[in-house]
Amino acid sequence: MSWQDDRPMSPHLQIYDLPLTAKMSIIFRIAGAALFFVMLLVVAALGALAAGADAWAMLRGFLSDIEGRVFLFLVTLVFYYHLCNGVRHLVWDTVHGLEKSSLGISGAVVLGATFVLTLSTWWLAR
Amino acid sequence: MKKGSSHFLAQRVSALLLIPLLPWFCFALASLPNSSRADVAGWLHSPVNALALAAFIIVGSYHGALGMQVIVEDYVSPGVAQRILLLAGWAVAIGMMALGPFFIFQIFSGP
Repeated sequence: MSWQDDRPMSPHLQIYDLPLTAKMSIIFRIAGAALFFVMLLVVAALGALAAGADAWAMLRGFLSDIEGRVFLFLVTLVFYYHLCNGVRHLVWDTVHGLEKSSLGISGAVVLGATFVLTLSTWWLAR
Repeated sequence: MKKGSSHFLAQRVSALLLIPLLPWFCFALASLPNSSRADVAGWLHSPVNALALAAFIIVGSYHGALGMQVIVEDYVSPGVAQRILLLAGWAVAIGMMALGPFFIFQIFSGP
């Protein structure tokens, strides 16, 4: 089936370059959903730790490998992004910072804070 | 209070509680690659860590279930599928809220 209508289309998500605020908004939601499943992994890891040495040994093998470290790094990055953008939402809830001019600034602050917090956490835990 | 208002408020209050817990938990995650089983178990033998981790799992799962509920309500049209997904989200969250602290207590009181 082809598009027969000659009228202009509204911005199409697949070709429309979303502004930073919109990109950060959908990433915030995806991050939140991903973290729900991360919480499931946290509980499973605690179960393995409670179950005894064998179950934990398997998990530990993965966590100390490079793949495990990259995975843990990404998890902390996603956590910090959701935290920082969540704080931004809490500020918006107080009806502050909603002007178009301040959205770009607060977006950049969130992205900067996400990287600074992630890197400093790993630096402190090194 | 209307259902939407209490959901809004619960999401914000749980978010506030998670603000201090998150950096603490991320630091624990970052320490994991260099920790042995004894290190992690020893860390959970401290009542402060055990209680903070239990609080993180309970509040985090609750906050997560509130969020997953909004996602399901936004993208799945009302019907049987939506009801099943809403139930599943809350069931998983309640399971995590119960099992997480249970495992923590086992490790806390174990060797």
